[in-house]
Amino acid sequence: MMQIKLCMVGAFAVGKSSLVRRYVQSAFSEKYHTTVGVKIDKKDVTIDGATTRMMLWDLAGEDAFCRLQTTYLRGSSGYILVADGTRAHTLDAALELHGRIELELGPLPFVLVINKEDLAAEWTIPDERIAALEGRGIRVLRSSAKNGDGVEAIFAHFARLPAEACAE
Amino acid sequence: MTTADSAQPAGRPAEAERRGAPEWHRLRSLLFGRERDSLEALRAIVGDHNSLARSVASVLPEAAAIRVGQDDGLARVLVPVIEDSLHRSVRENPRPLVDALYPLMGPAIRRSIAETLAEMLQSFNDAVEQSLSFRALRWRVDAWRTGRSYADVVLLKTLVYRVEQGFLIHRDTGLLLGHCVADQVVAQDPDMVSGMLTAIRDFIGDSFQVSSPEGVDTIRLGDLSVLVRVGPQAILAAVVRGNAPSTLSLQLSEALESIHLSHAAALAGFDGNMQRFADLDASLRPCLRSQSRAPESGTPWRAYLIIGVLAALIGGTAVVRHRAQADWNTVIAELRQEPGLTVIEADTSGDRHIEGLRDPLARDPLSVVGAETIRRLGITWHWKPYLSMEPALTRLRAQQLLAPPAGVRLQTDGDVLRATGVASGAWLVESRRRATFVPGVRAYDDSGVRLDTGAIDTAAVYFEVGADTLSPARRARLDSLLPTLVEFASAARELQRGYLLDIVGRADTPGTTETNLRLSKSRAEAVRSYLVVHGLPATLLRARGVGAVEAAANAHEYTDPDRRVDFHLATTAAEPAHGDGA
Repeated sequence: MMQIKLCMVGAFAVGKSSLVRRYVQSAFSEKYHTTVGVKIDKKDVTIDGATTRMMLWDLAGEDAFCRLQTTYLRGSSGYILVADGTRAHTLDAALELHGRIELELGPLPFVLVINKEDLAAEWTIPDERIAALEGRGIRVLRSSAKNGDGVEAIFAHFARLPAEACAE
Repeated sequence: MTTADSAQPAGRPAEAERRGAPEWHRLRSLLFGRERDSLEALRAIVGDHNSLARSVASVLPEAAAIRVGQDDGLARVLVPVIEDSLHRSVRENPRPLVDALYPLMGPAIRRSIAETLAEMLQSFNDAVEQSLSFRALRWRVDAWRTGRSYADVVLLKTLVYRVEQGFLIHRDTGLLLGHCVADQVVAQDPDMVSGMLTAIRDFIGDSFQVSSPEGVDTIRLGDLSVLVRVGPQAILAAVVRGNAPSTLSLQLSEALESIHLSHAAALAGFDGNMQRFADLDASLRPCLRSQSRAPESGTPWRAYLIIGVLAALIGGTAVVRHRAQADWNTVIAELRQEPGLTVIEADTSGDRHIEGLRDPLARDPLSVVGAETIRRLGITWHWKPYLSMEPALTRLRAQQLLAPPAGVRLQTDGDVLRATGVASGAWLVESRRRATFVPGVRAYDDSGVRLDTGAIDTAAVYFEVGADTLSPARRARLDSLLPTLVEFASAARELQRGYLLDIVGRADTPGTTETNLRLSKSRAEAVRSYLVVHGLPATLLRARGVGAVEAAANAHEYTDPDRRVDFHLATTAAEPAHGDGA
């Protein structure tokens, strides 16, 4: 079995925790976010008979009062940038975080998840911008924590990482 | 075309050689002489079995060392060979292996036995201590009060410390490499705990500028602490309940070092592959140490004491029982041996009770075994009267029935009763009558009893010189003797022993022998006639004269030894030496 560490980062209240809540094993309560700044969950994904155990480090959302502790990202096999489709500034924050992480830890596999797809009508992020990001080689996934759409795809993407690493 | 070209150079020299061109030969030796020599030398080595063996032998250890460094191929090849060799060795002659292993096995077995015994004694002692002591009672109250199980309370109170869990965590990723948990400890998902532990260490390190490069090494909450040892690639965290001794940190460090050593490659190139850490449990499990408050120091004296007291009690009881049993056996044997007592039943199932028979003449059983013994052993008995035919009892019975005079001794010889001694005729007669009534006596033998002649022996009738008639004085004398003589006569007749009464007449020395003989004889005849007249049976009486001779040895007993008639007991069997009979 392979094990990897994954981090979830994003601005405050973009739905990071909601995104994973229904899909992972959890042992700790939400208050860890506000105390330690991180909450750890576990997700086993089996693809093509190979199981990958993902230890999900759900990092507290960054806001004006609380900066992301990049220490927590150390040793990650990748990270998930989460933004709220209905609040365009969360995408800016996510990209800004991405820049900081890349600066401190070097390039790491990551996906950009734009959440709240169920409210697609209210999205303030234009499709052109998403297309532009994809044009820069960024993997953009849309998801809805509310109805679960696209969530498994996020984990499946990372579950393939070890196999891809072996293939290389 | 190319194939033909390449074939030609090979063909040409062969042809030249065939022609036997020495130039060609020389040219070849000039061009390749040295190479050919070394080639020949090599061929000699490879071709010759011994040389090849020698050259391989010279590099064999180095080759093995190199291969061992590369992979475990050599070991894989050797394992079946070694196993097979061992099997064969044991099958053919186990002696050398036994000899080789003996110095190892002996101490190992002894140690194992000693440890097992010590453990047993220790656990017995613990059990005794924990079930008997006041402390145990207090703990039970605690358990009842707090609603915990008694075992929990004992564990909490007696443990100095216990390592409940051990985590081996990859230093960079916080991923769990290995985990072990002590028995009966409920653990959270170790993967998540591992991550959280890493996160908390990071959090503390970031928040409080911890100076140590290895970060936090202890997290403590109440009696629970997490000891963290940090290695280059991995972190060993031990969850400890209680007060961990300082030595524990050292032991954890050593465990961590040994894991770094044994899994160096897997740790250095960690890529998330957990298979390379599958065998970690054996390295982690020794970290699950614990120490009880009950110190191992000293001897388990409680156990010894209790065992000692029990042994003394059991031993004492056994000794007392054994002694009582032995005494009981002695009592039975003594009673069985005693004449006139017969033990029918000796019952020890409940109280000690004896059913028996007792001859009225037998000794009191109480005096046979002693009243003290009877009381001590708590013996009860019941005796029914009976007549014992044992010789000793028969003798006693005869003694009682025959009432022998002081001079007579009674003895039994089988069923024959024998009397010896001296007795009066009356007793002899009576004893013959009574002896037949003594139970157990078939025959009575009184031949050993001499008849007591009593006054007869010393009785005498005296005569004046030359006289042979019975004067009134002499008649009176004879009359006084009559009852004794009558009694004798009656006894003699009854006893049928052939008794006779010798009436011996004597004369004094003056006078001729013939005169004296005649005189003495007529004196005896006169006495006999008188006695016959007075009722004594003539057949019993024998008169004879002895003249002046036969001054008997007991002459001094007579007032006038010479002129007299005296009486002697005789039997028909023993004829007198002199005299002419009646």
